[in-house]
Amino acid sequence: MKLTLDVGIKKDMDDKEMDVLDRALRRAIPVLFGWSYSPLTGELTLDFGDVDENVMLARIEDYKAKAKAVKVLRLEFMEMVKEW
Amino acid sequence: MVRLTPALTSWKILNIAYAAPQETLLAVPETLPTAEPSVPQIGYTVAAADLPAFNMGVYRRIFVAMVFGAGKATTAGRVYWRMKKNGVSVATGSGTVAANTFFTVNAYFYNVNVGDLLELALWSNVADTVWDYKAYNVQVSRLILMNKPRLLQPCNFTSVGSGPVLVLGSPSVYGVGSLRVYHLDEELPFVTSAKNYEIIYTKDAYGMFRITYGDASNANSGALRTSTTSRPLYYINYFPLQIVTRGVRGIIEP
Repeated sequence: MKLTLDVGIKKDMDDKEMDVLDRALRRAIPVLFGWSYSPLTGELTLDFGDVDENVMLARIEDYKAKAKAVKVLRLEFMEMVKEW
Repeated sequence: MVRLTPALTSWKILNIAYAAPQETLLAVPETLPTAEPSVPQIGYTVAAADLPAFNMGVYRRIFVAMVFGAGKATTAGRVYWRMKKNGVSVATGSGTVAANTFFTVNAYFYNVNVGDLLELALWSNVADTVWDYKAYNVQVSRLILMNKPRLLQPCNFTSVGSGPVLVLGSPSVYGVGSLRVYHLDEELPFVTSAKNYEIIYTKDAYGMFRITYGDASNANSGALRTSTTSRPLYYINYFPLQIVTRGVRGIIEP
């Protein structure tokens, strides 16, 4: 399950900045499996691997706050895509 | 004398041929650096022969390239990755990899053209992670057959395939993305085999169809997947191999 957020910042990161972001995200969201970020769009995708979709749906606003995002864009479960 | 234009175009039979994936399995795995490499380990330059080929001219098509990089962690850690297109960072990310576990980065470059350099850099926060596999393939999305007319009646997806099919390493498919067909830019129920439609009206945003991975999901982005047994562990898409249709003239655009 993947949650894509608009973090409102389009900034390319070097490897050290990526490491800082990685640690911050994993500290805030311990269940996080992985993440991706686009400097072109400012989209941050949180990858939770295989998790219960109901648990995920209930925590979207919490994850949005923890990632300091400005907007929820997409939730992907398998090939289903829900867009806001 | 009045010259009449037929209300219907001739039948159009569009065949789409996909190039086989390019795959490499290194004989000797290479250790990943613990900082981002100045030169990405994996790079492909898009060639004309890599692109899906059509038996007739089409008004619009968007090519989506998928690049895969895979390896194995000995010690538990994280693998970081960066996608670059023509030297510009497109996306970055990381994923957790358990001890003695394979990882695969599935990287999707949306809207590529001949000459584009697509690169994938890998590194790890532990010193004994290796990579030994790379692959590359291109698919097509958001196709518009004709600029005018846009009303297609019927529009038959007479042959639908899936891929890429990767064979080197110890491959497994993690997820399968359906073919997404659009009428007036509204998504119709997912397609995984041949399907006939009485009417399709093709609009600019999504065209006749979209593939899932690399367009509807993960466009210019990537995802890392792990397995104790498989690498590459990758996503595939359903895609059209043949579309048979004809256009209807004289319809006011909705």
